[in-house]
Amino acid sequence: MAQPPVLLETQALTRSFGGLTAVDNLDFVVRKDEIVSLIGPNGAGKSTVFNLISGIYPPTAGRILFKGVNIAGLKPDRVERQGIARTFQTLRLFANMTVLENVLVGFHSRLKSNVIEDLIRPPWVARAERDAVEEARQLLRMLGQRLYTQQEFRAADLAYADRRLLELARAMASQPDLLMLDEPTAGMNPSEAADFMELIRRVHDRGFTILLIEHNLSVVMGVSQRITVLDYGLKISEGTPDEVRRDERVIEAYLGRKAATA
Amino acid sequence: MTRLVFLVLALVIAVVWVARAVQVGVNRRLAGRLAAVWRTTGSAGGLLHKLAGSLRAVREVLGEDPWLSRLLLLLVLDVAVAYPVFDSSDVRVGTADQAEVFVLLALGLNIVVGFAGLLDLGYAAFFAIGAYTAALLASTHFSVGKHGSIVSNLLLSVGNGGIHFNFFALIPLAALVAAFFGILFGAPTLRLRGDYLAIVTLGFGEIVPKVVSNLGASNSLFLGRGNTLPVPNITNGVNNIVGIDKPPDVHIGPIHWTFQTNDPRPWYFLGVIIIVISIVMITRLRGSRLGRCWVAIREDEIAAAHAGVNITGARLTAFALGAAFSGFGGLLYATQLGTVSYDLFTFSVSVTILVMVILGGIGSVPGVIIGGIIVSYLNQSWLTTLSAWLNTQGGSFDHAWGPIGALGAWLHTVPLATAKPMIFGIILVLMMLLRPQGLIPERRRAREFRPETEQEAQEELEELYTLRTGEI
Repeated sequence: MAQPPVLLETQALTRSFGGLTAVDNLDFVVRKDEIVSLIGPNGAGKSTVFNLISGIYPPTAGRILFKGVNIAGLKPDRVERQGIARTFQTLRLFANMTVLENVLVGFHSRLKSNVIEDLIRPPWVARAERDAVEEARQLLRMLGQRLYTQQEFRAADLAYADRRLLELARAMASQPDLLMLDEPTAGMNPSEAADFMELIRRVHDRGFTILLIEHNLSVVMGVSQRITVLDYGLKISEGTPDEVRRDERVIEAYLGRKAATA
Repeated sequence: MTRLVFLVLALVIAVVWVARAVQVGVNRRLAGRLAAVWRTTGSAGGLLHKLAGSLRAVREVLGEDPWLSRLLLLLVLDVAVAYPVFDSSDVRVGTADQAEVFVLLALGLNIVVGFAGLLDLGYAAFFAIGAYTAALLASTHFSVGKHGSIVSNLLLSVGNGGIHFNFFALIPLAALVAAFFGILFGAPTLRLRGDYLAIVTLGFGEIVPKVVSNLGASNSLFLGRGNTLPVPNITNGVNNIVGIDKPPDVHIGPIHWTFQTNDPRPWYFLGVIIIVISIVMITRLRGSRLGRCWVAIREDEIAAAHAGVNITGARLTAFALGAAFSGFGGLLYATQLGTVSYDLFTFSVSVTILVMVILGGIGSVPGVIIGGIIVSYLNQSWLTTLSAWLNTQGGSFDHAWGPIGALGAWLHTVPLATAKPMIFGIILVLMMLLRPQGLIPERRRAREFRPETEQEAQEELEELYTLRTGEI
């Protein structure tokens, strides 16, 4: 069977902060329509990889190819317009905007309007805006009835799990080719986390390619097609969930040397 | 006759409004809310809170029905347009004319400070640029050629009598020129954050009047080694540019405006039209994709960037738009006065406009209009009137006994009108202490100023911390 085309590929991606090499010569690939997970213990460099891809800081060395184009060093808004959207481990919502407005910001790069159109709001801009609102509502409904009914609430007033959902909605709004989720189940209890993973599967079924960060291996086992394991910035293992689970280096990284040899 | 029209119109609107209010039952809800506010909140010293609570109740209840707000707006517009018809004093209407200029400026600065959240301490620079655009392009200042006119049509005439653009052609031109300088000043500075940006804008606010005052023929540019280059007379330097053209007369139906006489009323009506158009555009702007971006950037810059918002671009646009509206203000100001000079646009003007925005309510369009009117009237007439009144009162008992006489003597000479910087300073401090969200706050801004819960206050602190350290 022919493999689907490569969407994202990092080549020898490296980032150091002073003397610390947070990401070291990392190569990994995300193919179209996959769910790929990046896992590793705390401090393994997973979030740094995300920040490098989404453009918060440039890599020290290496390339990031997205749809064949090197996007390393581009600013976040440029990366987003290339078709990559992300969420954050520590939630970053627009707290004083409503739920609906938060999602509408996600539509930013899809709505085209220039300054003059923003000033006079001609009919075609008003129509595009109305359509965006309608689509945002449908998106919220798809992610859960609770979010849909709370669309006029302030983001800060939502329950924690709903805020996670809202961040996902905002990222999905731009219809990215690649959706990057940074520990989306952080702070959730096991049953909420399981629900969320089920939701991610549904999002995937709607045609989204997903790159997921998780430090809890068991959470992503069920949904990921492939897993890359990082430790101290180095890739220590890669493969299907079953392969990774059996890999001694992974067990060692998570549980220590004794457990691996026991 | 005209008065009757305005009166009848106001009456009709009022009647329709009351009918509508009763129909949707707003009056009962409002009465209930107001009664609750006056019964419950605070006892001693709570009057301010009660007034604020009442204002909030009125806004919330009226906000329930769009027609009530629309009718109210119509009524306000009717009163605003009718004012100079009822006031026979040319001086007072002239004061209102200038207040209109400052309302325009406050509306423009509000885009920068209120919508985009950028502190601009040199806004008068753009005001100056708008005014000088009018002064240079519609006066006898630039004489071109030797004999007669080269170009002469409805929009523009150029010749040895100077460059004369038609006022109505100057409206977009002044906005464009000011916006261009907004981008020019903004591009290198908008990467800066908060305090640094404020300082750089302060610098530009100082530079522009200085440049204007030095671009006269009496100056020369020092090139080193004793070489100098004479400066062409672009702005007439420290001398005023005089004889700025008045707008052409307007005759449409029952409207007959002539700007050639000393009658301030046509100016007033022209100002109202420009302000109303500006308000419509600015409210649309606030609800637009760009307006949403500005809020998002204020809330969380990193998240906004990851949603595809070009942060520097959005800020630059705010700067340019703010400048454009001050271009309107400058144009109106220069043509009204008929003369401009560099010292009309000093730092104190920038501060005055900022006080208007803060007093009225940062980000709130009705707020900054009210703020603009109040500060402008304080500036031009109320302080002088109050000062004169205090002087007379003081004079009546300055020979009284001891400390009372001393107080009288002090009041007799106290120059309130020249103490404006101090008075505006006091207003700023008081507003920051008592009501940082302004007289008529914008809803979202009010929340930003006053975290509702302990948890929100904590989150804000953490937010500040991550911004400082650059952690993600």
